[in-house]
Amino acid sequence: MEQDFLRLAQRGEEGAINELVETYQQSVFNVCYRMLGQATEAEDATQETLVKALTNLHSYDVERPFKPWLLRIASNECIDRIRRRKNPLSLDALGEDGAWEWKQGDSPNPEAEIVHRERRDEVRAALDALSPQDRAIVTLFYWENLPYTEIEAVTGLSISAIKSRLFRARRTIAGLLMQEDAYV
Amino acid sequence: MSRETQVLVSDLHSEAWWIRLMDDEVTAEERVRWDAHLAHCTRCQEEWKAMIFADAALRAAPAPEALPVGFTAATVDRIKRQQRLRRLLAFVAGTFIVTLVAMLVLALAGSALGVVEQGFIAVVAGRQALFRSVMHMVLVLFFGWQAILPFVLGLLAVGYLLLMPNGLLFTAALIWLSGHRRAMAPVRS
Repeated sequence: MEQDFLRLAQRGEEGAINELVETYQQSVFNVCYRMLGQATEAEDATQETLVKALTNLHSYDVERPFKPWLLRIASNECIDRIRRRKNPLSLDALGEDGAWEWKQGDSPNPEAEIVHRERRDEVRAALDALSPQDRAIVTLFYWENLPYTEIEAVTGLSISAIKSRLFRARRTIAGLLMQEDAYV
Repeated sequence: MSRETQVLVSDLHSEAWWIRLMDDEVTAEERVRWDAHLAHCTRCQEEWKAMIFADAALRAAPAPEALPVGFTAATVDRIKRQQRLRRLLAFVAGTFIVTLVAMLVLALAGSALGVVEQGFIAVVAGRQALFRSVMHMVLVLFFGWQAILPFVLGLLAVGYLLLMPNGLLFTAALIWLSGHRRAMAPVRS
């Protein structure tokens, strides 16, 4: 079924392209968001990934699984963006005039919302301490639930290297989170 | 601590062991050995607690928000524009290459044809020159015969003088022949 869509998309069928974008955009966005940590930049990276992938479909072998190929493009895009970053300032927290502003959440429970944000920020900060490639491995393992074989296809690393990098990344994150927890 | 126990503890502190432990790839026997070790190793207790905490925190991390409405349409629109641009660029590049190749082929063919044409022109021009010179000679003979008439008359006169029965050559031949007969006649007594 997916292969049919891919073949049609390779011929430039708009309906098939639409279907593929709808199917994979959220997965790509999740990876980009976890790796970049900024919603606006993650949206740009997601769109860039989908445009790159679907305009270069002629170079893709339809017999191979599509998702690892797509996520590989996404993680490379994010790694490039992280390396290009000169100013780590997040634009998501800036108002229209460029000044920092408090964003009001839409949660009916403000306390739960604060805890939710704090946890997200802690994990975010811990992820930022990792190298871009380790961040990609953690993202694919924990939030995309990919098996090692698919992470291997995405990153191009061997399974033993992935396991080792994941373990060290977990250890780093554990150290940082425990440190945060000790302060709280 | 016995030598065997030391080796075991060293194994349980290795990265390979921790990776297997986190991936839940240990056997029941290994698990028993691990639990026994964990009960008295403070270092492993702290590390295990931290790893479990990190694992849980990562798994429980809030999912990113959904993509904004209109994202799909904007992305598909960008893909279509990009594909159109690629097709246009491919067409321009293809046209350029075809034109370049065609020009090269035409130049080579033109050069070869030029040589053939030059030969053809030489043949035609040669025939024309020959025809022109023949015609010129005929015309000159036709219109300028008076110029060669004295020569023709002179030639006819010489021929007459030499070849006619009473011409000079014939007379000289008769004289020579009669003289020769006399000389050859037997001597009469």
